[in-house]
Amino acid sequence: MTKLGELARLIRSKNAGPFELTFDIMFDDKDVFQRVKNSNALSRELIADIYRVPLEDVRFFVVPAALAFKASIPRPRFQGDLLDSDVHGGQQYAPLIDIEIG
Amino acid sequence: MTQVSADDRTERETHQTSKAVSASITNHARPPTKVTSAAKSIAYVHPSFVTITAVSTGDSQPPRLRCTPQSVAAHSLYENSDPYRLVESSGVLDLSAAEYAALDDRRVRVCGSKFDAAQTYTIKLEGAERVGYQSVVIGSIRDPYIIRQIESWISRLKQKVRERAAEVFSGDRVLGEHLFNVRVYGKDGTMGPLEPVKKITSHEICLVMEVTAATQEIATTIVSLARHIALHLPIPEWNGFITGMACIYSPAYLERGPVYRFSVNHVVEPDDPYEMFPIEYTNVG
Repeated sequence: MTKLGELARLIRSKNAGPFELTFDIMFDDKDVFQRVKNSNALSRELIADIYRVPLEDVRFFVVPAALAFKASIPRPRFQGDLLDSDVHGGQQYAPLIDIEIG
Repeated sequence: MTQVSADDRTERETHQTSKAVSASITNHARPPTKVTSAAKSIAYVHPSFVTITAVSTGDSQPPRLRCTPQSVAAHSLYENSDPYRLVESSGVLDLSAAEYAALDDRRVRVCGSKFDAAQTYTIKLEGAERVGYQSVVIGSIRDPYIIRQIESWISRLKQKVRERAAEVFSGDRVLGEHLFNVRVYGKDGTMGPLEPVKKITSHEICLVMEVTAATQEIATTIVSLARHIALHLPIPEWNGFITGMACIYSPAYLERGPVYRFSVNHVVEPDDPYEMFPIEYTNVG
């Protein structure tokens, strides 16, 4: 088992407009991307589970051309709202680092 | 490929994005055109494909920028919630069948994207409103007895601040109306409700106490009394008057001035795409 953070070139989170957060998991190497894809570890269900949002609120994409996986979820607080804690949405990816890949 | 009318094309050119791929599509079905984007690539646009070339300051100045199918495809990820459907004013750029091929290590050809023209041209309208004035106090806690009961400590703090503010403003709802928020760094300060880690493992935590109210003066008054209550809030483990929070500044409060939040997220259907963007031409000389 290897942690996703050790396999990916970049794991990032960003705002996608003021109401959504989006996560990009990007690889350098086609074989590593394929290994992660074949492991079926990354899924809509896993994202829903980690961020505790309803499954129907999660969008999940496999983007082979970019050797990437992508997921988007609604922001719990709108960007810049009084209770928002990450205006750029840039530090919300951390829990993805520890995902175990077989 | 969806053909678009000449009028649509003209409109779309006024809404070019900084992304090389979408910038190129805005011009498709026209004679080959050169587009320079903020991404420092040049797009050569042909009726049915686009070629993206990396730009550098000159071949003699290494390192030369590279451009790969992967790097071009990755443009569709950035700050978009859906990498295959990019919504623009006059329609949706559909990349689901796009193919990216390297011509060499600096040029990538993209084929198969299509543009689905919208029935109605729309303009996104976003706006913010002032919610009030904010004052904050930053403090920290090192006492493990307080840290291990931080949630109940904050509930008690909030309860007491509510009661004290009501006293100070004699129950005046307008004057006393405020939002008191406490952020706990070392617990879930960064991720808030999205934080999956529930256990605090740090030996110290940072608190940011925020009060948002109708005026700066009210916000500062309330955050100052919150500081005082937090400073001496008792816990069962200690008997006597404690000082349970460290403040970095004296006076402890910082006035943040007016604060704003998102309040308008509308889609406008103008009669004419230029209606909201009048251009006045003046001849000089």
